[in-house]
Amino acid sequence: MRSEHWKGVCTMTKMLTTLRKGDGGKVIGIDAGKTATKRLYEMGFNTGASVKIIKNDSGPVIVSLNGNKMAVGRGLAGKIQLEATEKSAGCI
Amino acid sequence: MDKKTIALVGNPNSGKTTFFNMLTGSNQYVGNWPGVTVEKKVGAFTHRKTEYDVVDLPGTYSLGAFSEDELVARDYILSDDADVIVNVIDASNIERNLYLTTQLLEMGKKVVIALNMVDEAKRRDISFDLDALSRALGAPVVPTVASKEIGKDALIEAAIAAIDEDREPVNPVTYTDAVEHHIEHLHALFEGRALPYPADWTAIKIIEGDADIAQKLHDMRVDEDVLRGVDNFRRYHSSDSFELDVVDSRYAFAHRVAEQAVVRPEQEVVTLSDKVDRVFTNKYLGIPVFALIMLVMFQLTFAVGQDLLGGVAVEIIEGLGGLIEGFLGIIHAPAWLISFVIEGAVSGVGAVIEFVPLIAVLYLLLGLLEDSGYMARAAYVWDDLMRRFGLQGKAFISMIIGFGCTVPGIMSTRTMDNRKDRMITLLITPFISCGAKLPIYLVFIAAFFPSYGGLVLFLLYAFGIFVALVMAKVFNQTMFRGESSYFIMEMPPYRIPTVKNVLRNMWDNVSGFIKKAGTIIFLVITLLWVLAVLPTSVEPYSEFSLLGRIGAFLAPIFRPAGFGTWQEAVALFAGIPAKEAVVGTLGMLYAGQYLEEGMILVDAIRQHFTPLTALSYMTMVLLYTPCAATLAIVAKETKSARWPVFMALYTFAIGWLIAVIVYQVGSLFIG
Repeated sequence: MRSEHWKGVCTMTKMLTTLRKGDGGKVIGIDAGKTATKRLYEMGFNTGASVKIIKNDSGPVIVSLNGNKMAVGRGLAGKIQLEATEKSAGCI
Repeated sequence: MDKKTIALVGNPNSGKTTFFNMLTGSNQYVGNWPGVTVEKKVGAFTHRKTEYDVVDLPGTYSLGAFSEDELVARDYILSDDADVIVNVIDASNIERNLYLTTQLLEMGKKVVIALNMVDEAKRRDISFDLDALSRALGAPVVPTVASKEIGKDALIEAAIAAIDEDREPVNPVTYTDAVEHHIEHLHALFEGRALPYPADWTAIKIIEGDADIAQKLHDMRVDEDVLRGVDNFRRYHSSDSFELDVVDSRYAFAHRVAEQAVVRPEQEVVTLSDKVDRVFTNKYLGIPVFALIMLVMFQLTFAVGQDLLGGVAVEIIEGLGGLIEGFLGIIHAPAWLISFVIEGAVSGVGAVIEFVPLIAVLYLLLGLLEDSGYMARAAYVWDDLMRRFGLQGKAFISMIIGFGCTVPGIMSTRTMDNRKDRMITLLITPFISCGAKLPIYLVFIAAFFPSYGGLVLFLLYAFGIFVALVMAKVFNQTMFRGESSYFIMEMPPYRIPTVKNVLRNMWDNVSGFIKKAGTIIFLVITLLWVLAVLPTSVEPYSEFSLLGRIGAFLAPIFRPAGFGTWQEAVALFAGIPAKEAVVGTLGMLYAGQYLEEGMILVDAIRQHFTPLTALSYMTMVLLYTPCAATLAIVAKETKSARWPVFMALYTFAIGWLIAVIVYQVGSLFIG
């Protein structure tokens, strides 16, 4: 899934639930049902939206979307696909 | 000149309610009091000697056909009853709030933007180029801080100016080529035909696959060709991706506007709110913190509402009763009238009114909780656990609102995104003990558990939640098996509750409580009084009275639960029109029996109950059939007569069953 490397930052496609606190990325697709997808889009998880993880331990995932916090249930969060930008550690 | 109307539209958490209160002050026609469904609140204000109406629409993220709230807001905007729309925007959350704005602009409405809570944005180091914002949106923008009444006059001036202005609003959104192509195509189809809605907007809705609008066009019997064209499009050209493309285009516009007009710091400022959240949403601390907040809430309700102010209310009622009795004696009123006033009205309705201070404190605290932003955290920390019972976190908000009153609790299920979550939450909310049941517990607590008031109350409420969750699981496994559920929720920053909002909320509820005491409860008590003193040949309030005989007929049902006398049975049924009537009825019936011996209600209850039967009676009250207003709102929200009947019966069965278990198991220990 690894795609690119430069200056110690790499990007890869990941599901929202697999990211850790402080990680970020851009929404590239949502693989949920029709209404859930539409709702996520309308709440700001539309194509290209940049997302930062605030909290991802138990319960819903909390993310920052344009600086505002949103909680997304784990089930649904597992269907949000991101182009993740992470610190290089796990990438090289 | 006819009166002009201003409609308020905005996201949830954009401070719209505060805004409404700022504009209208105390000048509201419709209070949001329990039992009356208020979908949109109406108020008025006077500016330069002209009166204006203000309509507060439900807070929504979008104007699709997604939820009941969105439809209410959208239908009102489409009705053209409003002369101008004030779009309240959370300044710290520009993009998502502008998503709603773009839809207003698509509708071709005159919009004035209230850029609200600019103070909060400033604390987060966010600043604005107001001219650029206004230019990009083609609408006037006024910065406001509704909680501090900043920007009120400027906003009113801008709204009034917009009403008189002739400028046609333009839709600033650019769609994808495919969508634009279809808009053009549909536009050509609509050309020159009478449509109930703006042509371009109708086209966008059809492309978005909005079934509600397609249906409305059919219902309104617009031109045959138009209907055929629309149906053709829906059948052959529509695609799910258009719907999402349109959302993307609107957001692209919102982002562009934000880039032009908003300056944000490189690094997000860590606010106090973030720090508080580290504790309140903590994996291990979240639920204990919640339990602590609830326990403190009930203790405070008790300490202030009962111990501090409760005595005052009792004295006022008793003093008033004495005065009226004296007066009736002086004018030589007939004995039956004195009996009615003292035993019926004063003892019955008075028993309810005595709890006004307590109810007031409960609503005050609930209002603080609701206004502070904590509700979203409660929903968050409970989501995981709720999921195990087949529910989602938002159901918990409805349950907390249900502590105050079941009716708004049930109405709040509208914010839930799918039918299953909504229906299950709606069915279990009556188990969450409401404010009107509080007086019932309190007289029993005063009679038997005076030193443990807060704790007993907390346990009762907790037990109600427990039963609600178990029933949710049952419904999830049976009636709503396999339907899907999901959870998306905004976590707004914590805000200091505004005094005005909290007091307004409290007053609406308390005045509703008093109105109910003066109307429904008074009627119930009067009816029961008549039945209790007839026929005249027998001892009034005895088991030989009409009421006594009815009660004696019903009483055996409750014998297994330990409270099998006719008075208790009558009181339970009297509670179905309104819960407060339970205490009122007991007050009246025991007053008729014991008043001459100088006993008060609490003493009478000690005569009739034991600690154990008091517990089983409280359990029954906690769980059994909800009040008529609740059943009515269930009928309305589900658009069905079957659900309320089902609710009335199943809750009665559960209440009875658990009351019997409490009594029978308790008897084993006590002997």
